[in-house]
Amino acid sequence: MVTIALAVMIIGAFTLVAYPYFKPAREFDVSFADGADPVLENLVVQRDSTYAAIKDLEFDHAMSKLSDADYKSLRGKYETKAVGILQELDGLTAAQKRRARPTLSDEAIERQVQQLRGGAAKTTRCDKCGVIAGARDRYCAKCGAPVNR
Amino acid sequence: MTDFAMADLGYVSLLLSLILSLYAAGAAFYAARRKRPQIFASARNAIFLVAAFTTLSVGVLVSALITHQFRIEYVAVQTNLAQPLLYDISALWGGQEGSLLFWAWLLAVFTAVVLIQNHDKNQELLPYVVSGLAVSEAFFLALLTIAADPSIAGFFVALPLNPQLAGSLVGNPFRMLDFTPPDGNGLNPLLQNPGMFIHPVTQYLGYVAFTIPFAFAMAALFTGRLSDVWIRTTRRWTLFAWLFLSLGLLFGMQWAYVELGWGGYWGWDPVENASLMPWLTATAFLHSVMIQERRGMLKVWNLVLVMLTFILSILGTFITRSGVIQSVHAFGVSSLGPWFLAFLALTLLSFLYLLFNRVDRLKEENELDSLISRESSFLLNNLILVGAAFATLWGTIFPMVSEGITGKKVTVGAPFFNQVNGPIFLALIVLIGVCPLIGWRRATAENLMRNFLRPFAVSVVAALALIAVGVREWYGVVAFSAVAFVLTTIGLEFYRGTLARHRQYNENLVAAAVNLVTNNRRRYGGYIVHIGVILGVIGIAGSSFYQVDTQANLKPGETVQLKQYTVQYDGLQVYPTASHDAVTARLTIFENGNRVGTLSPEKDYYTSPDPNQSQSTTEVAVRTTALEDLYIILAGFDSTAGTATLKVIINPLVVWLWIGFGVLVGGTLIAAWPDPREEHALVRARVKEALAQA
Repeated sequence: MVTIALAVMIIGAFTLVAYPYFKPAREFDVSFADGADPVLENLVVQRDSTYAAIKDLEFDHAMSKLSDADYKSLRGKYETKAVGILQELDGLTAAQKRRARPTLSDEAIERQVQQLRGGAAKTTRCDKCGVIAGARDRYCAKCGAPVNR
Repeated sequence: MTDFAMADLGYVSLLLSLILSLYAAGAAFYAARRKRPQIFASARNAIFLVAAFTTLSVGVLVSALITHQFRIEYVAVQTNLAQPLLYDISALWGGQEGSLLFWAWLLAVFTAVVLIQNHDKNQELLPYVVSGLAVSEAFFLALLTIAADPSIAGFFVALPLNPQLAGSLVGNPFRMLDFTPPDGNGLNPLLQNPGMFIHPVTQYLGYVAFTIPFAFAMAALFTGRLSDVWIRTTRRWTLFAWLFLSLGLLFGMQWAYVELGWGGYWGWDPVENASLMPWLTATAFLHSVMIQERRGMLKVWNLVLVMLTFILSILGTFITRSGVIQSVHAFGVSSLGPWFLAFLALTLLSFLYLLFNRVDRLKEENELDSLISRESSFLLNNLILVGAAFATLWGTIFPMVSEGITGKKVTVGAPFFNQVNGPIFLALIVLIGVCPLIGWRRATAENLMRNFLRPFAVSVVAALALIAVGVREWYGVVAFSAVAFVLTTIGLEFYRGTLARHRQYNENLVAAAVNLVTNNRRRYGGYIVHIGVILGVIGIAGSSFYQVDTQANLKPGETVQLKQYTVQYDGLQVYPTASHDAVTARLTIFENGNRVGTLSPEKDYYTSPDPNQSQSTTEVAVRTTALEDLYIILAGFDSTAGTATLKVIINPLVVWLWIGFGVLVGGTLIAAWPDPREEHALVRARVKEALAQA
């Protein structure tokens, strides 16, 4: 009885491990790459951390942990940094961008996100400038006008 | 199923798991190097099979323990016929072989979970992560199946089929005896406590879960993907591991408090230290990753911290299991020590080699804006935590070091640790209060003054109030005023944040407070954890500095007085249970002359077929209030004269230590709870990737 159980275990294990070798490579959804160019990825990380830094500054200023003067000078510093990073991002060659993050509009991404989140495909645009707003945005990311839903 | 059949099934499952783990480690690595999806799919299947086979093996061992298959040596050593079912089950992690199996099983299941979680992401890192985890898994499976006692077989594996070496397979939980004993020895009586049912489980969950962030760190080093992706991916694993390390500490302390019967919960025992050290470095890691995520700094430091935490987790097991250091916990002394040391050395060398090769990619993206900023206070917090971990490590391994140098084993006791770590922890407590008051990046004297004024005033008032009520021990006054300082700063942080939201979004104060926490879970979850830690400090300070005790030998009807309590001894009660003989002292407790209840401290005597295994344990009786614990130990008795020796202790504020842990768990859960915005960002990133590939 145990011998049979052990035999089934060994043969079953061997079969499961060997099985993928008999399937063509195209059937596997594995790319061994995260789809991002390291230079671009690095810039995106820097951009995000600079945005986070500006958000922290605002929060600390609102909580009276930063003086007005410090807040202004640090905010200026990080805004300049963010602009530099954004310029660098823009300056990447078109080929690099395609390889890393293809030229996708925010609109296209947001539409897909809405669809994935239960088909609520209703997109909201800013009344003032017409830019599409994110699902949870309360203010327009471009012009700052309140978003009416 | 016969005992032989069970043992065969369990052992072969482990042997197959070992082969599959080694295969998965090699195949996943090769697949990533050569970009061969079939091979990676095969490695994935091997990982899932390892999870299945180790689960089967655990199931077989638990079933053998419950059904008392005494021909299996582990079962005969860890259980007996009289033992309650609960402890038959906990015998799985009560002995060395079983706990190694438990570790291997948890790691196998965690690895399978990582594969499922990442089936459509981290595709570049994942094969290396899987490979690293499989190597670690193979190490533990090798200990369980083919590791031999180095003193018998040399430092080589013993093939299990070689009968001469089979006896030296020190880690095999399915090793058979030549005969079937009529009864077993039973689990060590000290481990027969509900706390001990849960403590090792939480401890191991914490230790083992830390393998996941470490494997991601190694994979990031190997691939050169050294942005903060590995940190963000493993954030919840890190919190999960940290939470269980914390729970491990809590349950361990509670067990020591009620079971070891010396009046306290922490004795700086080597194994206690072994569970504290990874907790300290993991705490440092949880803080320093924030600096990397926000500022792109401390990249090397974070890698070193996650490595240290992993190594210290393994070291904890090594210390518990090797018997190199005398400890109340060294339940299973064995000769596996050299194997653990070899594994630790190999891990450390691989890490250092990879780190050295990647140092050029680990440049800091930013520098400190100011010396007085939250970043620098985080740095200081890290230095303090790691300093405390190293001080503890030094004291723990000092007996080994002294023996190596002078030939004499010099043990350092609690005074050393208290003297060294006391001030370190006090500094840490103050820092918990200071840190939230300092803004990120820059703080000015004027702002600091404004933010510090109120908490400082509260701490001064607290100190004066303590002195006014007669507290004279300066360290107690300092500790409690530090606690007041920290609680005020955290309270102010919530208050100011709520007001800021109230003004900014026109929310009412309650909604603003709730939204403040739910929209900044990580930050405010962290603050709640800090409150938990501070409540714990109240318990520790109270019970360390203001404990009082007395001892008395009483005849029935006599009383002993300690502060407001009068303990009346009513007589002895002796009765047998299925697993032991119990001797109980019946006591009536009076507080300020009013009867408030009864207590029954106990001594239990466990007999065993092997007289050397017979043992007694002390079951203390505790009456807990918010202010203090009345803690009574039956230190001795004379059953013919009917007298009893009682040790009566008042441990002030201990309950706050346990409450603090509860708050800490709540805060951690808030910090770890998925954030809808985070989820949105994740969906967004995935869609972007999917559209990119289309």
